[in-house]
Amino acid sequence: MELLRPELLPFALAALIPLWLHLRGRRHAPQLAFSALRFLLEQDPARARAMRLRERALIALRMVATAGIAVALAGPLLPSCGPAAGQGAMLGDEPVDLVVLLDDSLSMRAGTGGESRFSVASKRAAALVASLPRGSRAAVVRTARPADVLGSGLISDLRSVATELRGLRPRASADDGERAFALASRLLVGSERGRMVLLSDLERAGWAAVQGTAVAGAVARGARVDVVAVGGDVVDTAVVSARAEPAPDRGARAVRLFVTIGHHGPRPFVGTLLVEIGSRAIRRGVEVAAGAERTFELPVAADAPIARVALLGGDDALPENDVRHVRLAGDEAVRVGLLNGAPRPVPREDELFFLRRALEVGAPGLGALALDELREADLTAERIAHLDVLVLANVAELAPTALAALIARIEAGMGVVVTLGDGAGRAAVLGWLGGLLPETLADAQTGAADPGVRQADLLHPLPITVALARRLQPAIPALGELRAQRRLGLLPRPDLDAHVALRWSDGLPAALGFARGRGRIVLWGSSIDLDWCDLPLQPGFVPLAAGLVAAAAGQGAERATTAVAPGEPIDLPRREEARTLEIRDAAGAVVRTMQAPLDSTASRRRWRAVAPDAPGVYEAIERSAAGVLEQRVLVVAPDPAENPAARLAGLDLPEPTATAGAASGSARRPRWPVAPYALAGLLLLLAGEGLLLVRGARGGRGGRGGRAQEAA
Amino acid sequence: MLEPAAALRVEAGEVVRRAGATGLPTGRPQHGAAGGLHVGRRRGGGIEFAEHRDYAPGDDLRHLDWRAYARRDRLLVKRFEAEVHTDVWLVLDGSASMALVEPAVSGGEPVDKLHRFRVLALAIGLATVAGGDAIGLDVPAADGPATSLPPRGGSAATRTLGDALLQVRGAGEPGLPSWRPRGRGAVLALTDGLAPADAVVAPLAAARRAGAEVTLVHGLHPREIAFDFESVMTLRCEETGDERIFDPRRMQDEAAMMMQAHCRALRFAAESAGVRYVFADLGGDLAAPLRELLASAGQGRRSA
Repeated sequence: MELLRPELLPFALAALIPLWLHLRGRRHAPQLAFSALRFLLEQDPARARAMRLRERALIALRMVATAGIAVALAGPLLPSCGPAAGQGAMLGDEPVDLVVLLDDSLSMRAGTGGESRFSVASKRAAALVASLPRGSRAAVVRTARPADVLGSGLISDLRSVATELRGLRPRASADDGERAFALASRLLVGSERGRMVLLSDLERAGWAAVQGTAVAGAVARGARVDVVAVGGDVVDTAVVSARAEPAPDRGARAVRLFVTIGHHGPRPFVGTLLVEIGSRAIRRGVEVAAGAERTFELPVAADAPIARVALLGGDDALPENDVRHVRLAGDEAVRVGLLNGAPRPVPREDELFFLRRALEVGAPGLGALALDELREADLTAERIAHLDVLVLANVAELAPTALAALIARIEAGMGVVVTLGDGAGRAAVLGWLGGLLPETLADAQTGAADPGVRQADLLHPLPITVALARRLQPAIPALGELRAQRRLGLLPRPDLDAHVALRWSDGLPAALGFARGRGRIVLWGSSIDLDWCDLPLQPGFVPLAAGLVAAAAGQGAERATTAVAPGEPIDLPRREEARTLEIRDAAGAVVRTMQAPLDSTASRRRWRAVAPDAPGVYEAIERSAAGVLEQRVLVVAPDPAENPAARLAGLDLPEPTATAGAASGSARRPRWPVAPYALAGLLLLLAGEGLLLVRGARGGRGGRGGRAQEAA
Repeated sequence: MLEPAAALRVEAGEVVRRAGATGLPTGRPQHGAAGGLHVGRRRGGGIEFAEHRDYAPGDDLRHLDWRAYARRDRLLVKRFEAEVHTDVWLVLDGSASMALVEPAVSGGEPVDKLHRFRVLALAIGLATVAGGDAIGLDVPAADGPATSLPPRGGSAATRTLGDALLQVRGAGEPGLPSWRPRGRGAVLALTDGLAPADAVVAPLAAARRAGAEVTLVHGLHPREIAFDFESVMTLRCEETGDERIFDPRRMQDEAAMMMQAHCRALRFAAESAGVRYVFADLGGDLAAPLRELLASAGQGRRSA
């Protein structure tokens, strides 16, 4: 609690005055020999106790009232989510260009008292927009993945913006804070009166990752950023992930189901894990400590292609993330081939030693990986036909036949990850790699030591670059101590700058993404050789390796093995003769329909859609003029980043936000002045007590004769 | 300036005069010497006809009712009620709670609770002696020697009674609960009743069972009735030394109600035991309780 006039708070010590008066009154009260009172009180001990208690309560009430007056005069300010709270202070009277960043992620569905956080936030946002001074413009950016701008950007028709805000619903994906701030900044480019207001529950998953650059960028462009926290902390238990692995030791159709349950709340979660496979239901009691995640392993028979995993029991403010569907087919792991161009006899000096260890734990979104180590001689069309991803580490040169097989396989959908090394230097980059890539690189140059890496750039026009940047994003915070003695900066042509997903601090590209046919090529601008850098020893190496492979694998591989999050792009291969793609839900209702473009070049033969907002099992049906070509099962799971819903311990947005918001301290946390209400309440209390006293005095003075008569 | 004893007599005499009391009637037949104004328990030589009975040899021929013989042709003897004197015992509560001197109302004259009891007691004594009866005094004490004055008649008895009353000092625990009845005359207990009702009534009930006519005169100081103090007071119990803060603004109503409840309990306990109950507001006219004593005395008594 903050105070407007804290210097008045010491007057709360005046609460001692009633006590002092009471004690003083006791000491100075005239004495009288009078036995009747003692006798009466002894006769009725219960009443005597009640009288004593009442007297003490009265003194306490007076003390509280006195202290309350002092506190109320000090002007306490309490947090509030009321729609009108703090608006005037936040926006002022001058016209502004306001971008409302509205958190519509999964966790905003949680709420208490029958109203969700999102409902509170959207009403507040609508009221905020409606209260803007004449001449203002407003736009709304939804922050859930994929963050987007609602409508056509900044417009002066504030009423329609407010109406649009009221019609929004929360999505089932996590926050995309960086992109949301970047989009908001882009909307305010050139505006001298730019303002941003983020209305969010500050969910840990979505906002802890906001590193400040986006906010700092927004502030640097002159925009003021205010953050309005919505809702309190909630209890949430969620199925964070569920995956299946073959269990050949238990039978041909046996799989092991790994279900990770996360729990956020003050007490441990004790409930039941329900697994439904076809008509069978398996129940298992589970217990998860407060604030922890725990993985449960269940051996099951894959009697059906999809298992439904659900949590039962316990308090839960967000039941949407209690259910998850998982594919049980055990033979659909992403197959990754590893090829070392210069293998070494000592394992720890071998580049693939660390890479294999990193990839053995699997990759987020892909699940388990089936690793297959290859030699150069294995680069034939037959040998690589089953691979989803091929990692080429330190390959100095490729035979033309191998290169041709590789290109054919890439165009058919395989992904390739290329890392450099002693052998794969500038010559290799400009040689065989130039032939592999769809565009040639301009040059490669040696970079200085220890540059560190920048933030991934998430605002790219190319899907492959965005996907790569997003995959590498989680690894960057853990690469802070990276020491790179040698680097080879890959320099694409200036018009190919859009391929750079990650740069070194000195501006040289660190990671590039290319699409070729249905496949993807990812380049890492350094080696995973310890002689080049200590990357394999960094904690960020595991997510980095997984990110490179996942980006190269693309949605095609992901579709085969795991679920897609709501709002995520769906990238499915499209047959040449296909005309439409229908996505139907479990009830058979059509959720999405897509038409194939007429100019179907090879590179565009993909179905690119956005996953439905509601988690569940869907069917993607590809049709031609002749009929159904293929039916695929599409699993949409709640975004694991939102599970469980756990709020940031504090407002952990970076310093520029605080600086930006400091101009109006009350704006960052709208507050409700309690002083008038507290004073009114205290006056009522005092008036009530006075009334009782007057009534008691009147009753006592008027009735001696009557009492005597009555007693007689 | 009168001597205290004379002043007390004057004050009590004024009360008797205002009450119009010329004797203290009793409600039931009394034991006692013949010649008094109270109905005796035996038939005897009074002048009030009581009944006829058949003549028996040896009866006094003066009592033969010749007119009845003429009417009924049967010898009947007239019998008359005995007229006796009685002894009246005053039992005065001399506990510490009686020593309350406090104005009845703000700024008024102080009302001495014990003195008002003395006046009332002496007024009863004067009325008793005026009826030809004997008056005695008991001041029982719970933790000390009791004052006792055997019943005597005549003006000297009232003088002695006044002197004895002036010797009474309010001190100690209530002695009435430990009082034991003497004789079978009339008993008038004067007390403020600041003891449990059962304890106050128990010795009086014992006297009633022993054949005495018992009256409880319950007197209270006006402050003890209304608790209408002007300011916060420290009220000290003289009997226990206990002190309590009394804030009249908050506690007055409740204390007054508790006192009313106690009065009702005392009255109920007394009447249940066959003891008459008379309330006396010691701040008011003492002739009122005396008149009530005269009026509430048992029916069938002979007027003095």
